[in-house]
Amino acid sequence: MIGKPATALLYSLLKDGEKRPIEEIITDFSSKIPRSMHLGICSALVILLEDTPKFLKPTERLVAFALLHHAYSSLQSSTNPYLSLLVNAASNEKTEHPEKSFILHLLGGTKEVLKLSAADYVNKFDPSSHSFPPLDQLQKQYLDKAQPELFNCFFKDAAIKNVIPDPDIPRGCDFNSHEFDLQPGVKPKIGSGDREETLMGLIQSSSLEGLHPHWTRPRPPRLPVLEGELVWVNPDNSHEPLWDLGMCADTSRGAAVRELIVKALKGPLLPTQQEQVLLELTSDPKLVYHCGLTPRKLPELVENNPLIAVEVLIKLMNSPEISEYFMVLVNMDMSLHSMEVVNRLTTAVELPTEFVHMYITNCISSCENIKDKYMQNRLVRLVCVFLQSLIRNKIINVQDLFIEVQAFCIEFSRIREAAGLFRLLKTLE
Amino acid sequence: MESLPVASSASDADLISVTQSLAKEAHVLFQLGKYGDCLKVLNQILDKKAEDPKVLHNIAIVENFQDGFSNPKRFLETLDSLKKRSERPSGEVNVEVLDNRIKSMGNNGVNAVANIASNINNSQGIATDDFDVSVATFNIAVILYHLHEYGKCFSILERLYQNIQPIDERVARHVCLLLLDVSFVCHHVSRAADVIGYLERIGGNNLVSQGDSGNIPLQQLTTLVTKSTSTPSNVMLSSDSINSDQIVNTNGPESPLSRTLSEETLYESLISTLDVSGAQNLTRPSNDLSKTQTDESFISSPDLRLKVHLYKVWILILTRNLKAAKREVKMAMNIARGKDYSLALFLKSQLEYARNNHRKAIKLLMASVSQTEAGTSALYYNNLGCIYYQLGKYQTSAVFFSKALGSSSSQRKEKPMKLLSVSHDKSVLFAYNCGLLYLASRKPVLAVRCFQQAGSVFLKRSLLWLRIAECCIMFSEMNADIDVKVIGRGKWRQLVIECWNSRNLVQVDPNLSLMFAKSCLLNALHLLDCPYENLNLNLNPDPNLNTHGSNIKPGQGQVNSNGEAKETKVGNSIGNSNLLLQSSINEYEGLCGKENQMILQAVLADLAFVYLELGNAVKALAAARCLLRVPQCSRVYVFLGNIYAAEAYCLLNQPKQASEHLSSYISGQNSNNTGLPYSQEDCDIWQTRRSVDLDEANSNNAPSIDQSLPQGRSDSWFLKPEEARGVLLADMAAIAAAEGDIERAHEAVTLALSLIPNKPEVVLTATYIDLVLGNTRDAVLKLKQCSHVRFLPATLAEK
Repeated sequence: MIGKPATALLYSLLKDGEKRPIEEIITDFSSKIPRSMHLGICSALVILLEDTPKFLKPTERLVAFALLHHAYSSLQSSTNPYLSLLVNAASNEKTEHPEKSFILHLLGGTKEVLKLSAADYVNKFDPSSHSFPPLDQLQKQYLDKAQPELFNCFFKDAAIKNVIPDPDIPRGCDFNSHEFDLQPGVKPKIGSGDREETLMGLIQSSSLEGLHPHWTRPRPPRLPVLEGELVWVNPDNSHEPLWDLGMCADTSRGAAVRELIVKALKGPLLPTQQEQVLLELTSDPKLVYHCGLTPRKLPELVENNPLIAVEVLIKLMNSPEISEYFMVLVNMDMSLHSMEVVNRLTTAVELPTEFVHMYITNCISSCENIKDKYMQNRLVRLVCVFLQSLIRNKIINVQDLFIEVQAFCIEFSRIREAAGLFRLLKTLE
Repeated sequence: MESLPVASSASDADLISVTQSLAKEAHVLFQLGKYGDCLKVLNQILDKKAEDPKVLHNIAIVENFQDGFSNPKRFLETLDSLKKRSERPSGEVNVEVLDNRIKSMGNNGVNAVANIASNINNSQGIATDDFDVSVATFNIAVILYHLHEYGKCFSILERLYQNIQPIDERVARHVCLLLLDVSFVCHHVSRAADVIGYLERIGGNNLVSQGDSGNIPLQQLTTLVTKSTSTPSNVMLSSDSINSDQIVNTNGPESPLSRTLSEETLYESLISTLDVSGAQNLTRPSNDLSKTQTDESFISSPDLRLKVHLYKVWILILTRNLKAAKREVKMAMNIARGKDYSLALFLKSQLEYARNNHRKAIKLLMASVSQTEAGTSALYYNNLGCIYYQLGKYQTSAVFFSKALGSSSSQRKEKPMKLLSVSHDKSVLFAYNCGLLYLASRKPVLAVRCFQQAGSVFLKRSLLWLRIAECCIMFSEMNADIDVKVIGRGKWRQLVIECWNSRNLVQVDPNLSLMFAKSCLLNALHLLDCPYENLNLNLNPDPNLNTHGSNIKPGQGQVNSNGEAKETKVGNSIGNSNLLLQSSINEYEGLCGKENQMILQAVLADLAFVYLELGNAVKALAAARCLLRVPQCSRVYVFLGNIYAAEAYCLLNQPKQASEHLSSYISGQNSNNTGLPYSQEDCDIWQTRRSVDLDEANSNNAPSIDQSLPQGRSDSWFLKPEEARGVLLADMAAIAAAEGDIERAHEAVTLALSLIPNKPEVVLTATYIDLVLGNTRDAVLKLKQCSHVRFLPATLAEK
């Protein structure tokens, strides 16, 4: 993070505490080191300041504290995240007195101390002239103003520094003895090391993150290959574009049928015409779809040419529209012809039961609504024999319509056929 | 009414007969492959019938046959414009509007409808559809099929199929077969079954009885329509009346048709007809007016019957009704006897493959390839690749898959590129297999490339998106290590413990980034039609947290669980022969539902994971909670859901809720006393494979080694239950440590380390706890014992 040149510069600034006023050092720091690196450098300084084997000499520590304090000086002092570190250091028993008083000066905002070099400050320090307030007082004074630290993260808040002294240093190597410091011109002993080298290394490898508890996040498993997921490929048909046989085809026969159907909607066709229609419809099974009939035209066809209607409907059985045709058929005004068509259909094809039921209901209500007694009798007779036929041929299941049909029989019990139907119902009970 | 070419004058009639004979001539030349001559004739016709769309259509066909379909896109455009020109906007639209009104009006609306209808159609009379565009439409679909535009092709054919009855039989059969092939590619199994049902209904009985080659079964409708099977002793169908009734009996003496009958006699005759139980014959067996077809583009009935049968087998295999498939394939082989039918052999092989009889499958494949042309060799290699993959022999499998791809691409290089060779190039399909293989061999970079290639066909399948996301997740896995930098010498020696933040430094291919994984997973979720996607991903876990709406757009274009667009059935009822298919499909749809549940769990777990990796705790939490709400969620995924949710809560500084997710695994008083989060069986469910059919295994006597589960598979899937317990304890330790309960943390992390000693995160947590407790030595020892820790001299670390 912090490159070699910056590290060298920082270290020289720290050492400059011996000779230059702290003020100048701070100015140099601000001008020579890009702002983007300040955060990283501060956290490195924190590590160095906190470390128990003191990496920094007393004067260097003073400079470091000053830099930390300065880092946020442009903002309100209470936002400085290192405030608590400064306060703690100022009230710590172990902190040396000059350092304590220096920090108190910093916290108090006295500028005079900064005019001195760190070395001068230490040398001129007079312990008798200073009093050191206890921790709680300092906290009250400085930290109460401080906003609670912005929440970072549950784990990272618990972080400790990620630098530890190697516990495996050679035996017999007393840390406090200067014996193991590198002496120029002397062959180094085993276990001796260079403070400066370590210091530089630490600054360079410092990171913002300390060491914190880590969450173990299992990686999700890959979904096993599902059955049939691998694509097995079978040879397909050879599909080629088709020639259009409809080109210049003779359409006259179809046209003739269409014309006849138009006629058939208006009035009964002559027997020869009927024959022609039926013949053409049979010879070309697709013609029925092209003959121009639509569901709404069906009633006219039924009334005028029931046999053609029957034939057309039979041929349309596979059409998706067939149910619409049926719908129209069973709802059209009840007539001899419609009944004939329905009757023929019931025996020729499998008519959906619900349509048959609907038709019967339609018939019954037609009988009930008719005013002319004579016509009513005729109609009732017809409906009765129709129902008997349906029942005998097992086209409907009487149970489904039992109540309705029974009521119908009772209403018209004066008519012979109705009585007959009633008896038939009784035998089925 | 439209100017129908009814011969109104002598010259017209002449013209018609001239063009007719020219058309016949052109067709013959076309069939003989004499495209140049054919074009000359067609141009003669064009002189007489300028701008006739059908002539222009056939000219386009011939031209493209002539130059080997060198530019299929241009051909498509030509067809499309011709089709548009032929379509007349009025006619059919009215009928549709009308039908809809009838539907909406129900029972009583008929009269009203008649009124509306007369308004709509006023003087127009009867609509004709002389301008039949079905051939042109079909040809468009064919080209799209060859260009692997299966989705578009499918929807075009669907439209044709919805109204298949009026279409000329020759074209209709081709439409059906193409629709079948596309349905299989797109996994629209139930549509395929429907088409088979239709083909059987239309031609079934006749197909069986006719040994001819090319006669159209004309009596289909009548045959099917009669209720000879379903109505007991139908009076209408006495056998002699059928024989005697060859010709329409319009003039029969008692025929109600006779117009001479008065209303009264009609009434009486109807009464009497009905009264004598309605013995009136209507069925008129169509006297075989079979027009002899010499057209080779007509699929003969026996041919069609065999194809239908084979397709049925195919559906049964796809729907995993293997018993029935075995039975049907035997029948199909009997029918196919004497003819060489590579499809039959491929299907047999596929069946054995599906039954895990891999050896037999290989044998059958070999047999099929010996008798087929080079075009199928790619298929052969691909299928061998599938078999070896199932055997766990990934390297062999890879060889075959790449051979399949290679032989496809060599075909592609041939010039001029023939349409059929483009079509035989199924590399899009092979690419998916390749992707799976690379994924299994932990090569995500190659895998993702394959999946993207396969995307054009598999776009609508959630599984594809999941697999791509898996590639990205696998790719992100790379560097997970701890670095310990050793700084300074001698007494000044310091150790700096660093954890990996290295991942983000690498510039990741955007197609392998976790952001991309996230988008893929959201796609998958959308395709799965996940009921949670809109509800809960948006759900705020905490009202104080600011969650923006999820990225998922509310379902547009409903796609059901199979990833298929909802289908409407054509035809009214499903024939008896189709009951088998229907029941297999129902069962299969159940299976698909279960598989989709599995996919859903995987997708949600991956999504939660990816969000965590991306640092979006809020979304991660939402995904994890969705996962936990999946009904009958596997205990493995419940565990993942809990762990992910707990982590998300920690990241949101809500350790209490985090602990709640973990505490469900605590048994007894001691909070570190956790059970296994799931059992070995819970893991096994995800990997069980069909066992070999027993009878088959017996007949083979010695079950071959090949058929046992490939080694190393069962334990590589996911954490073993013990390891999962370790993860759980490690995470509990992390929470406890962060909360300052170091004693409990220490106990938990020690247990965790004994279960999963080599997880860097656990080692770090343990190190942390040791350092907090002041045990520097223990901490360093733990770091040294972990294989994921690298000790680096400072000089190296400096770079």
